[in-house]
Amino acid sequence: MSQSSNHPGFNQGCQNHSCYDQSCPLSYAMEQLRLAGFEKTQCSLSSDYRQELNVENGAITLLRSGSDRELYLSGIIDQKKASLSINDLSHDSIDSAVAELLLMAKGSEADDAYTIAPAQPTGVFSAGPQLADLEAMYDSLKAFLAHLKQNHPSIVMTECSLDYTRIHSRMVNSNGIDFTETRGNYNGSLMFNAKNDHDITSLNYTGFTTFTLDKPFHQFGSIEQLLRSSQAEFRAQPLPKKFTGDLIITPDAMDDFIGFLVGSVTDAPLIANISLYKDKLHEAVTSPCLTLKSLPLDSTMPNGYPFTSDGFQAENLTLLNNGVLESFLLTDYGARKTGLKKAVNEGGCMVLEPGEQTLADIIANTREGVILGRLSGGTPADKGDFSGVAKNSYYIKDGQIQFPLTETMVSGNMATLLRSIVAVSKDVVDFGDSCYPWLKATKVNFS
Amino acid sequence: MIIEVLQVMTVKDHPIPDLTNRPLYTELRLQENVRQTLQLMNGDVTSNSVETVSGVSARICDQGQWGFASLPEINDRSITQVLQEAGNNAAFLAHQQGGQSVRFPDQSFSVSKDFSSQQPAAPLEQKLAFLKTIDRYVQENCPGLESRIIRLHLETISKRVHTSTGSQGFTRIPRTILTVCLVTSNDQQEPVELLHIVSDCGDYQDVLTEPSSLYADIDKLYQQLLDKKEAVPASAGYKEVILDSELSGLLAHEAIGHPVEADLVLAGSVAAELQGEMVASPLVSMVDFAHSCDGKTLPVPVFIDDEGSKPEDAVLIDQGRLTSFMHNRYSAAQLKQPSSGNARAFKYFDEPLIRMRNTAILPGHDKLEAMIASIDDGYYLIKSNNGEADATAEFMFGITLGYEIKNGQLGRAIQDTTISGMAFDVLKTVTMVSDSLHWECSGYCGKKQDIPVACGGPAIKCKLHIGGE
Repeated sequence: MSQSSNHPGFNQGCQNHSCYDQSCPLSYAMEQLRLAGFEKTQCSLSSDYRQELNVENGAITLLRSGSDRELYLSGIIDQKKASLSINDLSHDSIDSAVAELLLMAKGSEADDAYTIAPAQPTGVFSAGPQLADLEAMYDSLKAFLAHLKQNHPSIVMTECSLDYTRIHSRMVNSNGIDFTETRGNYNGSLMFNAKNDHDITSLNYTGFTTFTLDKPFHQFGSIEQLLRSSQAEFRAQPLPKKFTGDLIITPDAMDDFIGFLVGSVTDAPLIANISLYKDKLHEAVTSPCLTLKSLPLDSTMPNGYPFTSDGFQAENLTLLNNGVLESFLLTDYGARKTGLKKAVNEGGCMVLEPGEQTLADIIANTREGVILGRLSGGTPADKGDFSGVAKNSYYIKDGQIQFPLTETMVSGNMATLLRSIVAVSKDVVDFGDSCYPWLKATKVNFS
Repeated sequence: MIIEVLQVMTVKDHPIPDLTNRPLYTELRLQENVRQTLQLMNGDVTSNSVETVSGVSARICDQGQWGFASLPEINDRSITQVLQEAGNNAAFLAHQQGGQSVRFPDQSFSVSKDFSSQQPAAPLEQKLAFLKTIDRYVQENCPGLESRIIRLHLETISKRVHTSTGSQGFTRIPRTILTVCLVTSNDQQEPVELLHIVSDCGDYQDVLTEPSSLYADIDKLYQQLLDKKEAVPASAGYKEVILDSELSGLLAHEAIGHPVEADLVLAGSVAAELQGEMVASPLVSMVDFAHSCDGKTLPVPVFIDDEGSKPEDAVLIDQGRLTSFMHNRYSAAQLKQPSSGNARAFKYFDEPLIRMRNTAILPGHDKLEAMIASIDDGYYLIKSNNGEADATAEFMFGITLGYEIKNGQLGRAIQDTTISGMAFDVLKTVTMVSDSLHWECSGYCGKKQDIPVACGGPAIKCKLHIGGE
């Protein structure tokens, strides 16, 4: 990632309103918002370009290309706020949008918490490849399909895609911020199961994000592990009996658990005063085994971001430090509404720090439990209660993996479970947009 | 350049080149999605936004290989460009891997349907006043709440589809969704939440007429919330239950609908080998309706699909027997079955996939009261927050509102839980089906892309696994 500060031009023009670039839709929109009477304005213009190869039922069947763009307008007048986005960038379209935005804002309610980001040094950022290598994409996917045929003949690749996406975005506001970023990356996703003459296994899916296609497709993220796991799931059987035991959470299932905590410390639950963690800042909220960071500025994060959607330069943050909640994930608006501190970023790019034990040792030290490939469950209640079906999962007894599971329900409480973590693996899976180890929780119900 | 700006027209009006003389199978789609969101959280306007996304896309088949291209502009130049680029993309794959020419049926079909309101558009102030009236009613009549959210979501999709087989159509379908969310705390100071959603096809002014028409629903929601505040855990195990209409609709969509989408059938879903077999109780019939039922327009009407095919109702289960699948042109040709016109794309830059439309288990002849009275020890399950199904037909739904049934009487509310089962096994246990059919269209189905769908159903009595203690 590169950055240059004090990029000249646009912000000064917007501040003195005397010289703006009429051919630039963003500049034109800012000027029209000012002329319409908005006191504070913030706008962004983003355009993306994508090329995507699609696999259906084991064959490459579609090459898709296209672009989209969004001009986002936000304005505050008399402390009333509205926002609007369009993708037609003609002056006529922008004029109509500004007129509609004014009606929307005037028809809204005043809120003292509405404002825009303060002036900050201008930044121009770029990351990742700026052009797609279509031949490399095709070769990667073709080689993957050959790998499947040779090494995983029972796998049915229901859906699979590999895309290159480049997003160019610029954000400005009437306080003078001016951030520009161009970011390119490759994204793979796949959904599959295994099928033989008599049986099929549960669907499984995973994905990855990367700056470079520098290794075979199946070596990204957890793909090869999950393919092997799917092939072994034909002999799935129900649990012999209900029990309470250990839950080993795989990296692919991690977002369901970490996501509860992360979702509970964002604007909506904190403003509504219903977050379990509302009074827990700087207190231990999980097992001390857990240290969780959000690293949007990390140069290895293909989906990082240099500035937030509400106009602040982003920083890396530690959300959990040895189990202690070090920050909420509040936007500037959320912070003003709650009287709490604004977060230095808006989440994502999560890294859970690895532990000391190998996954093999964690399994060997489990008397009875389940290694969870995927939780197919309802959204946890605000208080953390959850239950769901253990998909692509295995029963463990006396330190040994016994058999894959079917029709097995897992239930517990997310907050309690996160406090019960007793082991973190030193093995990790790097998905590109996150990096997770395996975790072992205790006293979870299986039925 | 000036002339072109003056000629910028709408999805409905823009001239389209004749595609019928093109040598390769070609689709062209002009589309605009407009979405408005208004939200009051504890009286504050926390969302007031409009999003408009429009553009043009083309899809071309060359030697069995597909190329797709899209641009965010609707003008002569962008139409020419996407046709060219889609052709290039198909040619790239054809060059790389060759293939065989695919001959699709030369079906041509024309239609134009505009469901825009005949009434003047409602200004923002009117919509906000509606939400504030609801919010005030909640404040005055629902004491002890920690939080209240009133959200209005309006979405209109305008599409124009032309194909080289001679099909052409224009549709404009608005959808209105109002959500009321109430949150209170239980004795342990833990949040307890319930939602009520009103959703239907139509513009705001046609669907939401009087706030007072929602007051009875809000009173019922509040009472259910108070019941849930005192909720007990469900007893985990294989139980006799009544799935109310929201859940039987979800069952129809997730657990049966997805496995009988022909692309998943071709991928080897469990339904692939069950066509013609008894897969459910003879009390169960299930249909994916194209646009109407009994002369009434359904919540997500599809009058022409995104491959220019005429949408037909797909009878999926007829009195317990699995009869047909949902198709696009390709899967119908592959399986030598009639096309049902289920190819749909969400935004202009999305390619059409096989998607459901209005999927429902058909009503029977039983009364809900009699169904409850027939259970000695089980559950009446009413609301869900999500659902998921597998290629094996194993499904899972999150339950956010349910009650115990003891000796034929409703008992205590149960805490949030999950139900699961093998869909066809569960449908074989159905012994009663209520005589009412309720539709809702509040959500999106996610299958590579989101898309609006409607689910419907009566209440059904069946057996399945429930999570809990």
